[in-house]
Order: sequence, then structure tokens, then C-alpha cells
Amino acid sequence: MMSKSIIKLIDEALIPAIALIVAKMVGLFLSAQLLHLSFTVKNASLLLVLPKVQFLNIQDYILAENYSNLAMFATAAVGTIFVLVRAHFFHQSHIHPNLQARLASLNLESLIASSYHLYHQALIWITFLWLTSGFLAISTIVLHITYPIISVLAFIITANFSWIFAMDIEKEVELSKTN
Amino acid sequence: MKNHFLTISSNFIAVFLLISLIATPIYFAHNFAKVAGVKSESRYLVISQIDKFPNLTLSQNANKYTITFTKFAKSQAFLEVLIVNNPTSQTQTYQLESNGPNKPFFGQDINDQKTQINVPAQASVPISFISPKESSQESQFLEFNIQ
Repeated sequence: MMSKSIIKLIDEALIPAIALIVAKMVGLFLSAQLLHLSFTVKNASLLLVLPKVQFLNIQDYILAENYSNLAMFATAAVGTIFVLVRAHFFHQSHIHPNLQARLASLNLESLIASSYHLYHQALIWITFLWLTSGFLAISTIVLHITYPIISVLAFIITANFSWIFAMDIEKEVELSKTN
Repeated sequence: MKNHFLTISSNFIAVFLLISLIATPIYFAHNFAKVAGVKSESRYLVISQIDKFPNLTLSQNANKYTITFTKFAKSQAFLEVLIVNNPTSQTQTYQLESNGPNKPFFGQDINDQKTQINVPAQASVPISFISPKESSQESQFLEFNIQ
């Protein structure tokens, strides 16, 4: 018998993982297209299915890499915002009665989520956000590819989102104590 | 017992799958884009200065270098006949190994004949050699390799 939590985490990790890969690809191709950067594509070169891109010079590579990393982080941040907003306003345990009534009247009750669903989803998105921030930090400090401003911004955003998530957990713990 | 084994192995596979799923976008982000170019795997580059010495010829077979020359004096030194360059991004240690009486060394100081040297990244060091008076024949050769 497999742990339900692990299955739930796998289930929740699928969409963010695909979203980050797509964001990286779209960010890179879009920046190369808009900035007229020369590159070649090698099909099925990564993990047997994913393509690989080769730039002709280091300046083009750094430019495209920065924009694509930014797109990847933005995707992780948007995903996390979505989950945090849901956890803050549409959390089954502490949703405002007026809002719940309004959602019911608009037939949007599916927006209300349980703690079990929200916390698994939030854990995955926050993990991806921290991993992306860590990747950006390594890319800045060790590889000298990503601009420092992007890494610093990513760290500030990630730390703040984690703090907001922690506040929601605190609220949940207090509610469970009073009940 | 069989059920326990199945539970442990299925959970192990599930955790492995979860870690793989989380790691894949970061692996992809790191490897997706690269700069085209030939990756140099050589630890050193040898630049010949032999043409500055009229009586010297250089031949190479894999890692073995042979210099043939004509002697004019009993003891004779040939300075900076080759230059070794470190093309890598790290400091490399090079060692000269030779047979026979003629001895190669790094640098150009005949009083300090180094056969091993640390060369910083992108830096170069000359190779010189000395033919001592014990080696008396007019036509000589020096055989060495760089490790």
C-alpha cells in the first residue's frame, strides 16, 4: 500500500514540472526570436525526448539564458501565488461565510479547497520556487551567467511567499486548537 | 511478509518518482541551452620554437617528442625550444620524463633544471634541454614525454 501523501505529491508535481519546462523553452525561444539571436536546435538530446539548443556565441547564450530563467521563475512564482491566494481566501477551514455564499451563488464552489489538497499543492510549488531560486543563485555565483539582480529578486520573492505560506499554516494550527 | 516487502518497494519507487519529477525541470534548465564549440580535452598545448634553431628537428608520436640535433660544443644548452601552454581553467602539474644523457627541463635556468612544474590556467612555460659533455657524439637526439 503506497502512502496517500506521496501519491498526492506526485499528482501535484506533474503540472508544475511540465509548466517550468515549457516556460524555460518558451522563454528561450521567444527571447532568441525577439532579440534575433542565432541558435541551432538538436532534437531529442535531453532525457531522450527533450530538445537542446546551441548558441553560436557566449553573449547570445547569456542573454537568452537570463530571459528564459526569468520566465521559469515567473511561472513558479505565478503558480505559488495562485495556491497562496487559494489558501488565504478560499481555504475550506477559514473561508469567510459571505464569500462562500457568493461563490455558491456563482456556482464557483470548486474554488474552495481543503487543507489536504492545498498544503500538498503549496508544498510542491514552494519546493519548485526554492529550487528555481537555488538554481538562479548557483548560476549567478558559480557560473556567472544569470544577472545578480534576478537572483536577488527571486530570493526576496521566494522568502516572502514562504512566509505567507507559514502564516497560513499558523492560522490553521490555531483554528485546530480552538475547535 | 510479502505484503510488507511490496509496501516498502512501492513507496520507495513512489519517492524516487517524486524526486525525479521535482529534479527534472532544474536538470532541464541547466542543460537546455549551451554555447556551440569544441571542448578541449587536452591538458596542454605544445608550441614549437624549433625553427629558431637551425640544427634542430622535432618529431612527435602520440605523447612522445623526439628532438634531433647536431652538437657544436662538449656541453651545450638549448633554451626555449618548445613552449607548453595550459589551455584549461585550472592549474596543471606537468612532468617531463626522458631517457638518455640529454635532459629536458622546464624554464631556461640551467642551474635550476625543473622536471616538474605547476602551470596556472592559461599560462605558458618554456622547455629547454641540456646536452652534457658525457654525451660526446656530434649527432644527438633527445626523447621525452610530458605527463
